[in-house]
Amino acid sequence: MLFNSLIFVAFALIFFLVFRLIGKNINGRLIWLTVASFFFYGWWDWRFLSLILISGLIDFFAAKAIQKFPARKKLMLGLSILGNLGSLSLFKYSGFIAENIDRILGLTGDFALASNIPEFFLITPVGISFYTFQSMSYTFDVYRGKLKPTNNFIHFFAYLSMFPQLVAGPIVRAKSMLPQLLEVNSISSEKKWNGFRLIVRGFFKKMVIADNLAPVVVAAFSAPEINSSTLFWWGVILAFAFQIYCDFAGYSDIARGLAIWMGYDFPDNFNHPYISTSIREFWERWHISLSTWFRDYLYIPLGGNRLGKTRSYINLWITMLISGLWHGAAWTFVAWGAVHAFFASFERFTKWPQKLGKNSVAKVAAWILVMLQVLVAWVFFRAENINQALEIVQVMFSFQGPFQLNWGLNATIFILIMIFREIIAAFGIDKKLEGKHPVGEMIFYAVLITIIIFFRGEGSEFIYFQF
Amino acid sequence: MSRKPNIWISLLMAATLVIPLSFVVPKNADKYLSEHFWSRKTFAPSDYNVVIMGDSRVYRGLSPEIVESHLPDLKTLNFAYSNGGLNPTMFEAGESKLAKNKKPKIIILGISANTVTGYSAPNTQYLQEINRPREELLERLYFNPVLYWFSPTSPEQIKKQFSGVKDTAYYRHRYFLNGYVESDKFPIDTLEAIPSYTKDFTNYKVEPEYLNSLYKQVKLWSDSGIIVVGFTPPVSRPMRILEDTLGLYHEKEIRAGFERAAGYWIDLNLNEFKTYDGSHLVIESAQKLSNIVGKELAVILKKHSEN
Repeated sequence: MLFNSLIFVAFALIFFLVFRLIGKNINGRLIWLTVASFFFYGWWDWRFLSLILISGLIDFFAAKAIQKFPARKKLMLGLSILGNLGSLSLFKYSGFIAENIDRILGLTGDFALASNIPEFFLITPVGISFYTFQSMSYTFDVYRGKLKPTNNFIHFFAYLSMFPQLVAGPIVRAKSMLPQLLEVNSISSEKKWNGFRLIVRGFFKKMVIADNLAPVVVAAFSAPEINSSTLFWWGVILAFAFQIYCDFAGYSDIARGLAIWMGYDFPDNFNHPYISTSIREFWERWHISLSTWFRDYLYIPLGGNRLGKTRSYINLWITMLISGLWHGAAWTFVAWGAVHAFFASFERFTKWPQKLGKNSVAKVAAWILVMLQVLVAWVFFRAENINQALEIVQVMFSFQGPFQLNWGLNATIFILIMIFREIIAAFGIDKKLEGKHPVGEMIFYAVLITIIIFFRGEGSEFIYFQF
Repeated sequence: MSRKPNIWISLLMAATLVIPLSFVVPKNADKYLSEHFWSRKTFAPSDYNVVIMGDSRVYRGLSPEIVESHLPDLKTLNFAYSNGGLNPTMFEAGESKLAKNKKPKIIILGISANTVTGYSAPNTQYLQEINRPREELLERLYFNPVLYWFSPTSPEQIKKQFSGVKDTAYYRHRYFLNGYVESDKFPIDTLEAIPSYTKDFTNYKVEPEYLNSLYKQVKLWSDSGIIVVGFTPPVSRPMRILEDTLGLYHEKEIRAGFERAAGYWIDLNLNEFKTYDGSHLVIESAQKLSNIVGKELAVILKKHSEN
């Protein structure tokens, strides 16, 4: 079920009505949340509900076993990782792995592994990477002694399957969510308004900005021949940068808003990544719940910065490459991770952002440099294949004409809106205005709703659903 | 007014902006009403006495409303699709729209060359409609008529509207829930469709396999008490020549085979009809065709009841 569909609006209305009627009965709330979330997911394809169930059961029992048999906790954790990554590999990466083995061994036709994979395993279940990671974080935290496992099956599944973030995050940690689910917090009118703001802003980002920029990006990348204009490609990649940001951040905003209306609190997932003045800062602002997941459960366990400089670079590269692969079963995503790893390593090695200084000219220069790096990396993320990505990057740095953006009026206006929005964020103007003009705010959000209704683009799935 | 922002007030403000604007902003009938139309047609109930089948010439050419005006108390559905092939998939789907307990039961087949070639055999449009994901289907069936009033626009469209430049060319459609699409195009170019049909008939011909399957079905229906009526949808003369020569469509032979299978045939005079692209009838001609078919059907019904 898509957030940007009327079916979801109907679903949400029924959900909140019943949720309100249940009142303070914790078990009732948990059961209703779980049932509604399973319905929400099963609406897409009920067969894949079994995957959430299996993934959840593995971690539910693994966590209990870790607590009960501390001497064997490594084994239990290993089994949990095996089960989760096994199902992820099977459903998300089996085609990719098989194709690469076929290529290496030269297998074709009936002998090719890829053509022998049952069709069912070639469907990537929506949001599998999100709920698998969420489920694993629970076992990891129990293993580290940071969290006591829950004995309530419904409590655990209410956490794992919560529909607002089930298919595209934010990846909510059990440590913060499980206690919240056992509380009934009264929702102040201020909180309700905050939830409303997030939801409206989320829909605006997705339906107005992302969906209106999508045609420019799709047309450029699906053209039979690569356009030879440098400016054209910088324009397309900038459009894609805003498209993917608004698509994903829009989903996160809606998810957070819905959670607030339920009385829960999800972490912020995006914090204006395009105003960053270093790659490190970019990763502190982009898909925060995933970045911190990889930091806490991969980078730090690998040794982080504790085992010397060389090892820290190796750990950085491993983390970035796996993060790339997490996004999709294709070499383009791995390349995206590698490009970011390269830029991050270069930054760490040269410390160029610090060397540039802190005055405003230096900040602008740093921001431009970071944007250039981020945009080049996005080429790999969006390209159909590595060859296309390399060709585009070559054109981007060849300074060839014609010097036309070819955005069209629609994309130009929506990109300008986003640039304006980021400038406001960079100078903290939005924070200064927040809560000071209630009437102005109400009018602003009424106008935003009107714009969503009359300027919505052609509806499409959220990009991050495929991850 | 409260010093804190209020969701309901904000929504009310939005409504006061959205409702008046919904009357001003141009509507997108070709998306919302067309999607609604196809879903309604595909999932029409089994409630009809008369079901009309064929391709786009049929759904743009035969108005059930006009046909019904000659056949009081008989409910009619135009169940034709773009590139709708007359083959078992469509036979079964069309028959399922006939009411189980109503009589008489009539099936009208608009047999153009395209409907009995391999080109239309996959029935792509019909299968796409019937297999549409549930979420999309529900939106199309129940929400699209409302969404139509809130059709999205774009800065580009607004600029065009305010620039005062108006398109003189148009291709307009009116979607009727009985399955008919009233089509109107300007400028008229009666040779427009010739190149694409030339391409189609270079690769695909009328095949005995499809004709035999058609005759067999007509016989089966006739034997079970369903009245089957056939006709060749009128087109421009160059188009007919193209279909006869390149597409190997021979109306006389098809009519003979059809009548041998106990079907009734309606003869039409090409000179009485006008098309806007060589393939589809202008509104007046579509109305004329509907009137002729309605009248002929009334005669056939009378004849049938006398027998």
